[in-house]
Amino acid sequence: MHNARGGRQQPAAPAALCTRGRVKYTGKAMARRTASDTIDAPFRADADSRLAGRPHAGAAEAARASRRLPAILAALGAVLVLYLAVPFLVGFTSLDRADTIAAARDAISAGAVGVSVATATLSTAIALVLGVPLAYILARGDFRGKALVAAAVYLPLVVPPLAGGLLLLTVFGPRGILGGWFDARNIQIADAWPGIVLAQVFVAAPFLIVAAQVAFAGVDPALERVSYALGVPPLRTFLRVSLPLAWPGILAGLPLAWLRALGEFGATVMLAYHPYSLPVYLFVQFGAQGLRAALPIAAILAVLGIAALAAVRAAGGVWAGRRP
Amino acid sequence: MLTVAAACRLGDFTLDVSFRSAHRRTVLFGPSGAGKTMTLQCMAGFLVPPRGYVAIGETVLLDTERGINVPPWRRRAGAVLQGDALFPHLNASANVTYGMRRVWRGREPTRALALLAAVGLPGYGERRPSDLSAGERQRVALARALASDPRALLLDEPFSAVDAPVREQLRRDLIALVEARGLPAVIVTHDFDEAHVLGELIVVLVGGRVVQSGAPADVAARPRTATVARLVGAANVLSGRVVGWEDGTAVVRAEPFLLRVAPSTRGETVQICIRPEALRVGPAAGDRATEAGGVEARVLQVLPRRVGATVLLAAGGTQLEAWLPGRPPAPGTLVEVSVPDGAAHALEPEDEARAAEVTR
Repeated sequence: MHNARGGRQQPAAPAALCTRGRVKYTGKAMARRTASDTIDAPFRADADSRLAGRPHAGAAEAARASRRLPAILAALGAVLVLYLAVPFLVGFTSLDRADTIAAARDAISAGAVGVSVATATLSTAIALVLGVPLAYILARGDFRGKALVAAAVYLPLVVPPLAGGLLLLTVFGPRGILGGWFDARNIQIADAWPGIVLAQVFVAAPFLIVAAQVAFAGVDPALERVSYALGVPPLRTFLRVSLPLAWPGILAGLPLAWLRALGEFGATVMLAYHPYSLPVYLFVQFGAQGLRAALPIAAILAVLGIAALAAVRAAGGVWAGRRP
Repeated sequence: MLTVAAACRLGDFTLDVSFRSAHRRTVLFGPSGAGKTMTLQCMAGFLVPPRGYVAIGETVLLDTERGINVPPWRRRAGAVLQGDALFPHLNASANVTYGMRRVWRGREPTRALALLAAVGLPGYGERRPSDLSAGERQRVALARALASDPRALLLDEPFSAVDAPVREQLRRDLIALVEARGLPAVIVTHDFDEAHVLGELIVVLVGGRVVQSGAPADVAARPRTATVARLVGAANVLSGRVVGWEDGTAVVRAEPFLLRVAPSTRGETVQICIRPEALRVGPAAGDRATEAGGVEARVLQVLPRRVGATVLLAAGGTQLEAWLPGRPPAPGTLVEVSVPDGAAHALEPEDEARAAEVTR
């Protein structure tokens, strides 16, 4: 064992070379190889690659040739990629610099950027705290009515957000069943930031729940059973095994939910026209002043979106790197 | 002392097992699909049978009649599941520390290293499961189970993913560990060699039922039914007909032999098991009279074993298997085969064995 360990720290160079273009050695196979290859490594490495039926040079080309893909698929894909990217290129290259800076300043001073970032973050946090347990129950639970609960998660996706906002009004509107109760206690939901958050949670939560559910389903149930057998009860098992193992998948769902919340317009405009969130502000500016005034706001949304994705990527890297 | 009884139904499979063991190492042995893992899961609490009883020592973990069902996390059953199931996000040391009880607070890392050393992995604390070999992972899993101060060790096919030489070493180390710590262990395996090495008591499961239990040597020497005989490698199962009785033993004609056995039932027909290592094979008699009870056979095939050889013989219309210690006869030669006293025993019909099994 110690032998193998030493061998792995300093793998023989030829052995490393001949792995290129072939199936990557697993740590174990590598350890076994290098441990036995210490004496005549160059010769053995060479013989090995010949045995594998591929000479040293050209192995990479051979691998590439075997991966040649049908041209028609590439062509179809290219059409879509162009269609997706071109509006960004055309739209954002036509931006006037002074106009954009002015518009951004306006959007910030109107509070739309702050409102959008804050509400989207709060909505995502709410969806995370309530959605992760729900996702775990859906992934692991075995109870009557589970199919109904699972279907309920998809309900916000089956109606257009505008219709969703209408439905939310029946509950949280001034005359809605809960809205009236809050209204009587001077808590404003509709046409206030709580309304924006409610609308965003409604449309964004399913993305997070589905991502988390898939992540939990990917955790081997045997690990949870082992944890029980080691004397760790279910809640602590969830926190120490299931959640850490599902976390990368949940993390991948976070920006999806956050972006969905940030861009939420339909339900928001029904439930909380004020204070302006960015999409509503964009709509208002477009109506009042036209494309030139609205385009910079779209740019702000795009920049926020890219920043969010980049932040989560970076966080994911940190997460993967700091495992104990 | 270990007492287990469980009856449950899963799909069209019915589990109805019951056994008791006063030994430290108990092996649940049987073909795949016999209910071994299910039985272990009933013991660990992962599966709760509608009717069942599980006790380790004085502690009753499950008694459906009295409404006792200790949840898995309070059973401290020290389960090592098939395929080790190490926590992939934790290193070896953190895996071992994982289930440590509160009394070890503050001393966890030291104890983890000591346990890793005890299972033969000194200095492996920082390694991740993905950097360990199958054998090493299995050792970490063992250390992790020991770290939780279990009442027993439940091991489900613990060494099935490990290469043969390492497996041999792991078996020895497991026996040493269990003996040193005075822990009862229940080991599930479908490999009779493993059952034979690890078990002080072998409980044979077939089709969800216990068909036999006993010391390894007894199970190997006197398998109870034809199925068990096949499982333990006692290859010669012959159909016989009772032709007479002498002092309570039956004279049975089982082609090509005439044998004296003590059958469990008074039926006309009986199945006979002759252990391959007990068959006596000598040079063909030729002109001189054959030995009493000896028959002539032709050598069909010779398969070398580590010591001696497995020799397949054709005697009349019957194929026989003999394990010979010395130099085997050449294929094609004629030999004389005889069955020494006590080498053959009558098998019980599959259903009888089931009914005769003790229930709690």
